[in-house]
Amino acid sequence: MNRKTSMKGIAVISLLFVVMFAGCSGKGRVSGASAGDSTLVIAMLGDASYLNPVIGASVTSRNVYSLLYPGLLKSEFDTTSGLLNFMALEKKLREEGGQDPGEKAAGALARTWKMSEDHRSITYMLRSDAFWNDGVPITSHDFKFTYELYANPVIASPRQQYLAELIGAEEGEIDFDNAIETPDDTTLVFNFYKPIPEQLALFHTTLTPLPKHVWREVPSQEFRHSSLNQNPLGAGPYVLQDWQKQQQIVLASNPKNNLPKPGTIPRIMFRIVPDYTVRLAQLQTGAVDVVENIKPEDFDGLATAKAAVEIKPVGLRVYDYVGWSNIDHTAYHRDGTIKPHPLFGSTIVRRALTLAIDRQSILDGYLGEYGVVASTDISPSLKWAYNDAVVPYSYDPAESIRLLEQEGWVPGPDGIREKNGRKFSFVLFTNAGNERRNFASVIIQQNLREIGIDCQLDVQESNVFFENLRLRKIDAWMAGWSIGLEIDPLDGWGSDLEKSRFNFTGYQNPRIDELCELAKTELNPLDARPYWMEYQEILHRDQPTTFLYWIQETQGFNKRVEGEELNILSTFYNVDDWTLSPSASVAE
Amino acid sequence: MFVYIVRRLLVAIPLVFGVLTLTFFIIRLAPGDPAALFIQPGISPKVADQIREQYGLNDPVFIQYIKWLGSVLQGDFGRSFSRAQQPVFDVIAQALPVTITIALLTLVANFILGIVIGVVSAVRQNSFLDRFLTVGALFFYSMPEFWFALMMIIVFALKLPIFPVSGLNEVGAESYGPFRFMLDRLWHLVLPVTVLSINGAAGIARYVRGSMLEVIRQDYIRTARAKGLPEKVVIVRHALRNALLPVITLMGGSLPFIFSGALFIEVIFAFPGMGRVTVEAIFARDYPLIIANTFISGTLIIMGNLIADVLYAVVDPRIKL
Repeated sequence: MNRKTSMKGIAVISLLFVVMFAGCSGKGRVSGASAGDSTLVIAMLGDASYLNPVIGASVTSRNVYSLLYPGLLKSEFDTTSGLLNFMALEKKLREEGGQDPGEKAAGALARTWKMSEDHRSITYMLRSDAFWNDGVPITSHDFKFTYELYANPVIASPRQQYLAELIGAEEGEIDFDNAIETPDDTTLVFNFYKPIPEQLALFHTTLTPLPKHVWREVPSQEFRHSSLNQNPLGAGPYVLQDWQKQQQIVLASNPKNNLPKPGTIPRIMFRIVPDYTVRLAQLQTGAVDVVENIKPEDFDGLATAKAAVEIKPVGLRVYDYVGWSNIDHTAYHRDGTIKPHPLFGSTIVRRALTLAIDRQSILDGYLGEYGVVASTDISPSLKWAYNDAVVPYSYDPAESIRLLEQEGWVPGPDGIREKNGRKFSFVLFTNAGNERRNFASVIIQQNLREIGIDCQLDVQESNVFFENLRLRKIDAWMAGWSIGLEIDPLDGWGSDLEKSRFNFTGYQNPRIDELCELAKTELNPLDARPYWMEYQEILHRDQPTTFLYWIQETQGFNKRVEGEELNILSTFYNVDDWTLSPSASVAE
Repeated sequence: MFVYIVRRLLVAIPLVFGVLTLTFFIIRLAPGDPAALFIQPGISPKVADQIREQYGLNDPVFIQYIKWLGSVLQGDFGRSFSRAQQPVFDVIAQALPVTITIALLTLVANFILGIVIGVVSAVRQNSFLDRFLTVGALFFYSMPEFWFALMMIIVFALKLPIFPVSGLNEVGAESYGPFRFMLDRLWHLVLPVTVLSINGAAGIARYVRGSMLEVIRQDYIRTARAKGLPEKVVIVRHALRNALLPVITLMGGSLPFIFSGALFIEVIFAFPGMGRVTVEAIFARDYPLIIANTFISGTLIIMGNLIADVLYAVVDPRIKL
């Protein structure tokens, strides 16, 4: 008996020890009173990889590091035109349509800029009152140094594409002596090998700088695992206070900051909560303040939650589509021959498929008012380029059947259409773990069966699925795209199938290539509008894929958060200006 | 016995190496690419290649294997691909304390609950209580863990806000004193440990009941009763001790679980434990981390079996090693 109880005692004590140990493994205790009122809690799906602008690849990383580092310019999304606007302290790219530049641009490091007459160089004049958090001034040399890091193949920055127009890039190696000049501490010049639009020049020369004086010592082989990544020296409205891997990232307002000012909310905590249902529950109890990508089906539940929650939509940036292989992949892989795919090779068949899919009822069943039927891959949010005249095909199975029969696809003995002995039967692949796509794929299967097409569904693990797509191994699939704010679709539709890595369908239309190239040569993006209009007409006619719907992402906020301005750029666009109202219910 | 243990340990070395070699080739032959994250529009096609070069994936698989073998023999399992190139054992060391805490609490609760339920239903065989416990145990045993966890959250965190929804600590817990910090931590562990142990205890209870029933029918139990010992002593001292023999195998078998983590619970309750490390490594094709995890779990399974065998010999004099 005695031995047993003492054993139990030891077990309990050792357990307590383990609990203590686990508790103490977090570093840096902070002193301070009640946390709830002064801490904004943001739920995230996963941890940031690097809080370093040169190598931080994920959206989460960017959300965090953009609060730690300053930027050369500030950008805003102009909702009336759908164009990005850039602002320096004393200059704005486009004056029309925006608000007062002064306040928003206060964090910019550039006072102003000047694009050369020949559009081959851009000169920035920097402010002289900007300092890294250790007091060292921020100069043009920091920018040049960091751009060399961005270009370094050993570091392998995912942002190398931003340097593609600098002198030397056309020959494979950037000639930094000529490409970036720093005549003095406050003058920064970028030189390009060809004339480029001002919009693009601004977009590509505003990568975030790192402090040269601390990073200079780090050899490029050690760049990715340098301890400086855990303890970043920046100059933004916030500083990193604590980072417990896979648990939370805590930022504290940076009291000395003048770029533009210390963050309004004293502490911002990014908490990692991998499960959606749990993120939702925490938003309901008030344990977290912000949860991104709330599903429309959960809005009702949130309306009755204990914590007051509001839902805010952002622009249309993501769409789902059904991809049809336009060419016969087997022949292409065998010897590079391009011949039409036996099922989906014909434009008319693809149009028939689009007509047969009831996209509106997918939306009604899942996204509701937070989705829009898509016509092409140009988002309605990019108003300057969007073609209103291209109206998505409406659901019309009768017309679809007519088109199929016109193409020679007639019902076989089992009701499945056939042509020359080939049945219209295929497998539609999609990636695992996306409820919305699963929902849509079932409706699509149903719709196609009604017009005599046999569609099997197959769900693959994401990594495998995307590899199969890249290697052009699958004939029909459902996937999604998140579009960039610069329209550059050649990667996805270009006729050179080796170069266009994302042209999974094998779609080829020389006019599309031409239009994309023409649009790039325009020095003012608005002048490219006619090309994009035609581009959309052609895609609509050819239906290389069936564009399903644009998704309006919806973010949930506890009502105690005030002052948030979401836009298509980011949910956390002006998070340093948000405030917490103390009167509202606060997480205990 | 000492010789036996040494022999088993020596055999374990080539076994672990065999497992690691197999894993090495299987994950490299599996579809998927560790650099896949960098293949997207807007990222230069050069980047994925540069990343592969950094990871040493551009060499032929066999050369990669030789290089890998060289560094593993020096104790270097490499750096994680997906977790900011931290050394893999750092990644594991960060996840282990959380995992071990949960697992030990769960194991203790598991065995205590399981043994109590098992003994009660064996002693009261075929009574209403036995039926109730058996059906109840089966009910919880068949319930999917993740669903049970979500139900517990809905009931005890949303409808009756008694426990926190998830996380290891409250927001701002860093400023608490050590005692309050620990209480807060325990408070956050109540729901997950309950879910895990109810599920596990049900299984153990079935085991204990079975072996208890067998033991109770033995002659020496009848002898114990015949010599007038009180029922409690008969059950606890004479029957239970013998009935627990098979349970010891279960204990040895639970050792890997202590370190491998409980994936669903970790995801749902947002704990950064080993289960998530393993699964995320697999999804990201993080080869070094997968291998390090395999190494740890492989070693533990072998150790667990060895410990179970040794314990058997210790408690059962009929077994000689």
